[in-house]
Parts: sequence; structure tokens; C-alpha cells
Amino acid sequence: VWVIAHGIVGRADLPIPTELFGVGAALVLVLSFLALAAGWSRPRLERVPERVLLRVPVAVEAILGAAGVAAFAATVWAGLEGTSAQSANLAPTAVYVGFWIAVPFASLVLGDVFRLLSPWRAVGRYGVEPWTRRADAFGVWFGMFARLAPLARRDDGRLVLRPPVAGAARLRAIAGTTAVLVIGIGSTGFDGAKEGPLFNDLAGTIQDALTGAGLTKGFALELAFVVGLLVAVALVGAIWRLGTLGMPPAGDGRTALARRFVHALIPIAAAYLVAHYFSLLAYNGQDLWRLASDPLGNGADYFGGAGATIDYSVVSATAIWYVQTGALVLGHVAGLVLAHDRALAVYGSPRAATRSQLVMLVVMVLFTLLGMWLLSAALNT
Amino acid sequence: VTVVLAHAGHWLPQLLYLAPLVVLIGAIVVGRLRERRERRSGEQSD
Repeated sequence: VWVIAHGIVGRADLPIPTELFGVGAALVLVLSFLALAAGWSRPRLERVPERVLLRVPVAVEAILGAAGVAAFAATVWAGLEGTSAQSANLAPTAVYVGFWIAVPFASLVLGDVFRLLSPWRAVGRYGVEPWTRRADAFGVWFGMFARLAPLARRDDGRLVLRPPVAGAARLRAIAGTTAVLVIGIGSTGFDGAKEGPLFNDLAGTIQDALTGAGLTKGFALELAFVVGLLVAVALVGAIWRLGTLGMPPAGDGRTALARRFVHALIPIAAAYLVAHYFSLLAYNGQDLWRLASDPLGNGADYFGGAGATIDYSVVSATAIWYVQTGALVLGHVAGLVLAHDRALAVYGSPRAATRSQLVMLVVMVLFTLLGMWLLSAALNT
Repeated sequence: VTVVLAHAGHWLPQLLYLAPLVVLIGAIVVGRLRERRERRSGEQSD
């Protein structure tokens, strides 16, 4: 079964060449860096005030947990019993759009929704909390995006309001945190790169070489994609390593220093997520209603939406481009803010903090240009 | 005097690029004002 996990997007009608968008984004980052150097002279995100809004009732948690279990069961049922036609079965869209994209998008606004929807947490009884927070890859990944949200749910069940992005500064990085973020950004970036001509040419060359070595064409192509994925992750890791090596030592070792700044990667991961998957959510997300009504593709109509179609006019290709590039710029400016604020806490004086982040500025510009290049490559394919 | 914004619909969206910068400068200004207010109230209580 082939799953085409991308929205069908028409060509954007852009008023200026895509290269100029990259120049504009880099300029905004440099100006933001200068503004931070000139006016942000004390760490403000280490402790931010939160306003308690309400206590989330236990019944709401129970209902959302039950909804998560029901959605999981319906998806597995569709996967096992439904039609093998991808577009008519609930499972692929539920996993690749509903779970993998809609949940992190919702987390960016509403906070850690997966924590409430998680079927594991809903039915688990022993050791589920540490597992959810540290071992469940989805819980950890979605929880990263939730740290950027203006809403958060405390452990005592209280819902609080806080400045957006500020929650990222509370991340206490442990072994593996950097790897999760680097792999998240690298794999999303590769998902974009594989749509462009550079990787497709390269994949063909690798495939030919591996086929010549005796592998089947299909397996050789799969390996070429694995190589591309590893290279993308390695590239992101190398850029991040460059940024951390550019910071002067702060007395607690290079690894510990890098971990203190790794939360700056969270808004970049969010930017890559929005840039790459916004169109898929905007278009294919609509299809969830039809597929939920007929999950097996056998002609059922449980919720009355089996005849629904995707409205491609809901957002134009040009508007998608602006959302994508806007997310990239916003995400990287947020990353600069987080890194600058932490540098003030680590290095003390504004001058030392600013100097320590010069290489980080280069890193942010590189990440932005990489994201822009991936978008424009996909756009021109 | 009539100001003609030729093809404004084409280039105005580019200004959205500056939105993060504007938000950042706003946050810096608000933070500065808040710090000044806290300093003043601290001096008065001394």
C-alpha cells in the first residue's frame, strides 16, 4: 500500500522570486538579533507569571481519554478489516493526518492535548506517568510543541495562561532530548527534500549503484531513502553542533552547556512542522469526516459524512506559501529569543550573552534558508 | 493628495515578514517599561 502523505497543492502565484523570500527571512533574523542585543538585557523567561484560568474537571479528562481509546480502536479496526484502497480506508489518514499532524498543531495552541487523549495513559495503571513523560516517543514529541502554547495544564489539573513560547524555557533536557529534536527536524526536512529535484536525482544514482551491486530495484530505492533520511538528520545535527561549539564555555562542560540551549530547537521543529504539513492538514484533514463516517470503505455512513468531499478552495496555494514562510521566520525568531534569554542567565552580562550567540545566529539563518530551500524546491517541482 | 499604492495587493503580504520583528520589539518595550516600574516601586519602598 502506497500512502501519499501530502496535500495536493497547486502552484503558488508569487510576486517575487522565492530566493528573495530567503533573503528577507535572513534579514528579519539579523534585525531581531540586533533588537535583542539592544533591548533584552535581563533573563525574562526563566520565570514567567502564569494566570490560573480554571481547574479541568476529572470528567473532561475521562471523556477525552475515552475518545482517544475509541479513535485508536477505530483506526486499528479499519486497518485490519477495511478496504486496501488507501483513499477509502480511515487508518492511513487517521494516522498520518489526524494523529501525526493534527495533534501537534492542536498542541501548539491548546497545550498538551495528547496527554489527555493518549489511549495508553487512559487505560494504563502502573508506571504510566514516567513512561508517558519520558519513554513514549509520541508523548515526548507532542509535549515539545505543547511547551510553545499559551495554555498549559498543571499537574494539579489547573489550566493556566502564560506567554506563548515561554514554556519551552522550562524544558529540563536529559540524554536523548537533543536527539529527539534533531531527528524531528531532520526527518521533517527530509520529507520536504524528497519532493525536490536534488534528492530525486541523487536517489536515482544511489538506486542504480545498489541495483548494480545485486539488490532489487525496490529495495535499492528504499535504501536510497534511508540514506537520504540519515544525511538530513546528520546535516541538522551538524548545524546544531556548530551553534553549540560557537558558544564560550560556561564551566559545566560542553554537553551540559548544549543541553541548556537545546530548547531553542523546539520552535524550529514547530516551524518545520507547520511549513511542511500545513497544506496536508488544510486539505486532507477535511477528509477525516468522510472517512470517520465510512471507516472501512464498505459504504457505511455512521455520521452522515460519507459523501463529503475536500474543498480545495478553503485556502489558496499562495496563502499556503505565506503561512509556510511566515512559520519559518516566526519559529526561528522565537528560537533566537529563547537562546538569547538563556545566554543572559548563563553568561550574566548582555554583552557576553550577545557575543555568545553570534554563531547561533548563523545557525538560525542556516536553518531558515534550509527550510526555505526545501519549500521552494517542492514548489517548483 | 492621493497616495497611490500601485499593486499593493502584491507586495503588502511581504510586510507580514516583519510581524515577528514587530512583536519582538513590542515585547522588549513592554519588558523594559515593566522593569522600570518595578525599579521605581523598589526605590520608593526603600
